[in-house]
Amino acid sequence: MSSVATAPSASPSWLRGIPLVVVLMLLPMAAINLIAFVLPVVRLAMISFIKSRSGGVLTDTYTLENYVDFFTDRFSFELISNSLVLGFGVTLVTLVCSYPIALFLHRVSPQWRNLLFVITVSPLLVSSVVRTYGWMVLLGDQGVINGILTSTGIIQTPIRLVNNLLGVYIGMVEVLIPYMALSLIAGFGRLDIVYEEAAASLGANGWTRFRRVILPLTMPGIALGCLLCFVLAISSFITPKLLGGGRVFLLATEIYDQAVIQLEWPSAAATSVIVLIIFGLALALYSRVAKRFD
Amino acid sequence: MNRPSKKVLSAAFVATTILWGSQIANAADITVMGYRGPFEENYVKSVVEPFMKAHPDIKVTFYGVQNAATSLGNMRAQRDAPQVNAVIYDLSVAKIAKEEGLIADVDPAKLPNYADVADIGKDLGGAAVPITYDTLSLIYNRDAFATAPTSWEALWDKAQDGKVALPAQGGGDIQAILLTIIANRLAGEENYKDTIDPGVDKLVELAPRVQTWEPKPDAYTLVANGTASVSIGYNARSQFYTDHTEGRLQSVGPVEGTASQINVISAIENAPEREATETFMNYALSPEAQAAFARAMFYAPTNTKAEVDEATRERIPLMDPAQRDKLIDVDWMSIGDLREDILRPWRRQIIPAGR
Repeated sequence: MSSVATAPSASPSWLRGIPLVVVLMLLPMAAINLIAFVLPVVRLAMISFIKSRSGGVLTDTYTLENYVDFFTDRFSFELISNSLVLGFGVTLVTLVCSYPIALFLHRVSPQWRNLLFVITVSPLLVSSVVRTYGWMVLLGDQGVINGILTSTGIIQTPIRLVNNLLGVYIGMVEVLIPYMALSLIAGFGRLDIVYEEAAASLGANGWTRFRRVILPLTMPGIALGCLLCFVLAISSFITPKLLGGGRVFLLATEIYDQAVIQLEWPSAAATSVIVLIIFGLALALYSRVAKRFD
Repeated sequence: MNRPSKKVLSAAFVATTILWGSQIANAADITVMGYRGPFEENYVKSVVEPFMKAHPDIKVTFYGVQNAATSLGNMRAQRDAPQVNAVIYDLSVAKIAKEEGLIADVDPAKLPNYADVADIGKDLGGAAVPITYDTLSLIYNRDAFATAPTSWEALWDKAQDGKVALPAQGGGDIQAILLTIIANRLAGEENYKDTIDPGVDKLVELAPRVQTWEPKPDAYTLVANGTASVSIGYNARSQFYTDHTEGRLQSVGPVEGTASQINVISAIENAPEREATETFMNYALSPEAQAAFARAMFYAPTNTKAEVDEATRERIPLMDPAQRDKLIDVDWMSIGDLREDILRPWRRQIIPAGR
């Protein structure tokens, strides 16, 4: 019988009992995370406390002013509300669009599944910037959609499909559908046709079967997909910048403006920390939801 | 067959090594950070390459960045170990860089051409020397106007409803500031330092007609391809795009006058190769470099001795005495302090009025 070396008894209690080889194997990843993620976030948090003079000149003084300014400005709450509404809205629309696709992929015969699966995620092969520029061409006043609508006489003047919130919704839903579909499929493990058949044999109609059987069994996938899409939507920057026409103000775009236009790095850092806190809350909510459906 | 002796070979080797070593000792490698795109392309051709020809011992690499704010970000990040030696950027950003100790206070005596530089934008002395002057122009699509517009009021023209592109977001900060000052004057208030409220009200009136506040890829492209019919832009880039769009994009220095934008050159504090950097800065300010870049990109030279041909002068509003007389005075040193006050209404009043 062989014995496995574990972490020395002098090591922290949470490490005791873990095989030494596991600790050693985790070290490189822990080091990378520390250097590439933890330290920059700590630095970001430190910058958020730096006092800046007018024009964005950085000083050597530390202050809470940047956070006080954020929470005493009504515009900040508008930004939070816009970001949350966009995050939830885009997640919901993406879910509604992706759910039938994922369900179909789950049920389709294995010989077709792989091909259809590749087709579903194939948009990820093209950069989201390129796809967003594509939407600009399609949705513009002189774009393909307005061109068809005006040439067929359905509308007289082009309708504004881009450079506004609608354009951002369209672009972001398209960008996020593959992520949502992947998450849903990954979470559909418990869904088995026999449960539906059992429900049908007991007289449940299609809607009841969906509501009482399919939906609860697919909830882990829904929770995972919603978390992923919400986090991606709330932190998205390129699509709102390209399709929003400068009209859609979100936390992510505000961070860019504060850092690059107003040159107020401490304010940008404070806003970034607040966004991280929102992400943390979303994760906490997800873990509660996930526990409930486990 | 005669073969060189070992002594001769050794002597030749030593001589070559010494000569090569002295070459290396004299050579300097400097990096200049500035705007990328057409600016970089033309600056390298008309200033950097001729400089390296005249100074074979100094190699200059141009490092292109998106805008002046990006340059400031790089300078802040490299404060302790600068990777660039000089930077070309906006005067208002240079003021911040100076206050943060990011740029060197070069002695003007070390830049013989400094004496010939015009007074506009010389506020920071040797720390930030004016290298190009530009002006804000009204840009428009040639086919969208039966008669060429001559006034800023063309932006408020009801016929252009939904066809106005204003670069006020995503890097259009200087243009937004200048347009606020211009709108303020159109609304009857001459001094933006007293109040900008009339200008903001006038821009609120314009907001519903604006197609985009963040033209992508830029306002020049949207106007040239007809997606938008009228916008604002810098004269130098407008002229460049006029040439590259067969005249579909046109620009004008409006009758009410326009405001200048000033690019300056600074040496980076704590960067090596100061002497070579100052040599380059002095060349960049020379009449020949200034004239060459004016010909290539239509920036007004800052060196008063630069000689520019008539065809080029005609396309640079600042070189037209009538336009120069009407130049709207902008105190870029105070704009740094007013920056937030001027930009805040854009996101809280002006842009929301156009949703």
